[in-house]
Amino acid sequence: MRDPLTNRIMTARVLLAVALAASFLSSPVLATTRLSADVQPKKIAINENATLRVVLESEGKSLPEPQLPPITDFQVFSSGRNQSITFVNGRLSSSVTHTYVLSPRSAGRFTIGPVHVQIGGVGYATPPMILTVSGTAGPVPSLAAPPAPGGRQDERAAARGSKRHVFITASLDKDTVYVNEPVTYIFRFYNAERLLSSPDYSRPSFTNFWVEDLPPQRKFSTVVDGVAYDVTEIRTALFPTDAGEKTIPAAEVKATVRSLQRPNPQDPFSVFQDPFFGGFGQGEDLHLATDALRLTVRPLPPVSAPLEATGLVGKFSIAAHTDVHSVNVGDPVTVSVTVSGEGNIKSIPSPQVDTIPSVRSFAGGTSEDVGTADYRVQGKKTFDQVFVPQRPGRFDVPSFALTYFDPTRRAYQTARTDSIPITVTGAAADFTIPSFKLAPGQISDLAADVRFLKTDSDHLRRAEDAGLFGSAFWAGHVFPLLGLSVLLGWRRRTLKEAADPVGRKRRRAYRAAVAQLQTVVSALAGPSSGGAVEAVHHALLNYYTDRFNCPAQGQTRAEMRATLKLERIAPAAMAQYFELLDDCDRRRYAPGQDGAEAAELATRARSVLEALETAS
Amino acid sequence: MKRGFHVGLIRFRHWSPVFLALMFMITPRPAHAQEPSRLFDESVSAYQRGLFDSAASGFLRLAQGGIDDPRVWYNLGNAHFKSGRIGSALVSYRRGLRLQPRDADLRANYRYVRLFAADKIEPVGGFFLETWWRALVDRIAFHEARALAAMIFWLAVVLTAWRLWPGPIPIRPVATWVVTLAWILWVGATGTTATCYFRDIGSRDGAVIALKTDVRGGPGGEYALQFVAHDGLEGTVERSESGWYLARFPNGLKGWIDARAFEII
Repeated sequence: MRDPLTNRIMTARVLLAVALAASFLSSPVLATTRLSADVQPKKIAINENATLRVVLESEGKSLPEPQLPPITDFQVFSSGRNQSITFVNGRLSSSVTHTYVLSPRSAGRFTIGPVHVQIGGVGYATPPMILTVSGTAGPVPSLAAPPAPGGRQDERAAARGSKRHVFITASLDKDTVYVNEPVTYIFRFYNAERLLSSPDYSRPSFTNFWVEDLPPQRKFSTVVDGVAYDVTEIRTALFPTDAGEKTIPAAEVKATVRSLQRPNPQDPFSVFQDPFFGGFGQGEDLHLATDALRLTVRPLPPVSAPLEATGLVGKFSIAAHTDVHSVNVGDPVTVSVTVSGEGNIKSIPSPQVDTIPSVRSFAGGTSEDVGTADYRVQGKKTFDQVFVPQRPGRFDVPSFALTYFDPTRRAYQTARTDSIPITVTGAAADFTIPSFKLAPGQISDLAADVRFLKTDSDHLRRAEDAGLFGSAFWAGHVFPLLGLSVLLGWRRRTLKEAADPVGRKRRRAYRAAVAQLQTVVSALAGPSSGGAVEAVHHALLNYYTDRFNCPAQGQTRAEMRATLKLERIAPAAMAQYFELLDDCDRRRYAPGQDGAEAAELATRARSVLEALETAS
Repeated sequence: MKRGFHVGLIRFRHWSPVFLALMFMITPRPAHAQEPSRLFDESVSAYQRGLFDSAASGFLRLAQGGIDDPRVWYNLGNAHFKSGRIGSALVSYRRGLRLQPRDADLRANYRYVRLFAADKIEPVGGFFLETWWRALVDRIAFHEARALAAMIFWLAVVLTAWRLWPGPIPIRPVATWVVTLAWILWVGATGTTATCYFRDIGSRDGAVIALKTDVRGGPGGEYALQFVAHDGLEGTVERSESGWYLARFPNGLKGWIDARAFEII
């Protein structure tokens, strides 16, 4: 039998294992992420390039950039990134292809990789790849210098403008283009000197252009004004986004070359600055800049109906393909429409398709593949269109059309696909549920149709009847709360008085005495006036008893005076009070009282009591 | 007598605003019975003859004319569905369910039409208490919750008045507990009412009503395409900008969608 501590540890381990297993199984990234890399060709010559493609497929829309291993034996150029996103049946997945051009620095057998990526805390890596570079130069189409786009004159002008045998040029392959028509920006670095550091190239800001790099760099030799230069050429494809006169700012290069300054013969260490010792010579920083370039961008001509403007410029073809030609009612037919050609591939819009009666259609995913072979932007973009037939019979997937502007013909062209016949079998339904969309738990919800209409039109409810918080609502809440508040106040007062009978008598003494006096006056108006003076006397003594919480009966005048003095009653009011009491005593026992005297006493008593109230 | 009348007149002048307010509350409103009923019957007739677009147009006119009746929303949902507009049908059913959340026909048709949405989304699961609370509140209409809260309020007020009334109360200890319980019930009913209110009025749930539409990374066509959404995909608008909605979908994805392609309930 285990002790409790061991049991707890075992339980914790089991729970941890279950949690880890659950998190492992529930991780969608882990289950679906794929990373692969391939380099082609596997064997190249020293003057050739290889292409490295890294493909990352995973769920989600934003995938991280793969991390390339250090590749020191090659110059590495990014040749673009293609991403396709699909969102079908609620699942979003992406596939990103990164393409790199590898230009060898030396011959040998090299190991490349592995390429790493990290998604959701999980790391992925590709196997390493082998690339062999032979020392023998491969066939070169032309080692002669390609003609400078700006002409030899530009080269010479640039060469003469530089103090050193290092200069740069920039040019465009066209000076007039249409909006979204590609134009190639060509940058060249001419060097006939020994560089002490790698030149630092700053590309101009291509504002108002879509930009596509055209790797790899080209290297060749040329002679300008009798000097042999090594030339490095970098090309960039530009697609103007709007019409007008455009200016492309200057490109810049910073480089360090060996200084021409002669060593100081007096300096004993100047011998080390001699090139013979290599590397110790003084460097001279060069800051080179090209001229700004001008480009005229024409607007596209207006599109005449029934063509639809897409803004696409270049030369394109379109093809549609499906593997399915016979389906049941409700089953999907996926048609892949591929637009391929030369131009701004990324801006290709989805082709237009006409609607088909009794067939629901919706767009699927898209994917694109952009290449830069021969320094031209070309490739293809594929659109998936899903058709779901609702009735049996035959329907034709209609022709897909794409309108683009061909700058060589200076006219709009429309590429079309052929229609594709599809045979549909099965029973008809207004909207048959496509079986591929159903989750297992939803089968129980299947029905033939929606439930029928509600036909009763009596007492249709108006929107204002359903007012949220109308005046009745607030009145119904405010009035009861007010009533409760009043009740609460009354209750508090009642309880307070019940808890303090003396105080209650004190507060009511004046009102009680005045009420008694009023009774006397009312009685005098009637037939019987007997005992009125006695009643006034009682009212005065009762006031004293209640107001000052002292029984008047049995107290002497002196004791009463002392009590009033303690209560800080003004002497004048006190004197009036006792004088009236004396009068009452006198008249009570005097014969022949009449009503007028009693009324006068009552009036005096009221004013005396008032004086006592105000004097206290 | 004359003085009594004078005093009465003065009292009436003091209380006249209250009397007028009460009179306004209890005065019956003018009836608009004929015109909406006729349009409703015509739309039903169009639906029965298979003229679903015409029927949808009629029911929509009723709704736009101020009729907020679950039967209208239910029939409009059916007409939209028969015309092939999945998203609009779902929005109509949801509007009807606000008013009559336990209506079996509305619930059945809503569930049925959801099957036709092209994009099936697995909703992100929430905390079980939240899920339970939502399921409970989804079966209560706002006006029902409000009426229940008002009734409990009156009951609590009457019980409180009975408890506060000066004088002996036969079952005083029990009375205190009964009053406390009544006010706790009222707080619960008020919370339910508030939840229903924000569900119906504050919520910006809706559905995609275009056959397909791009969901982008920002409020404009120039932003990167995130994915394509199709007719009937339901979501919640978090904010709007320049004619675009930032919509959140049940599986947690977010993106900007053209406001013309998305209808808020």
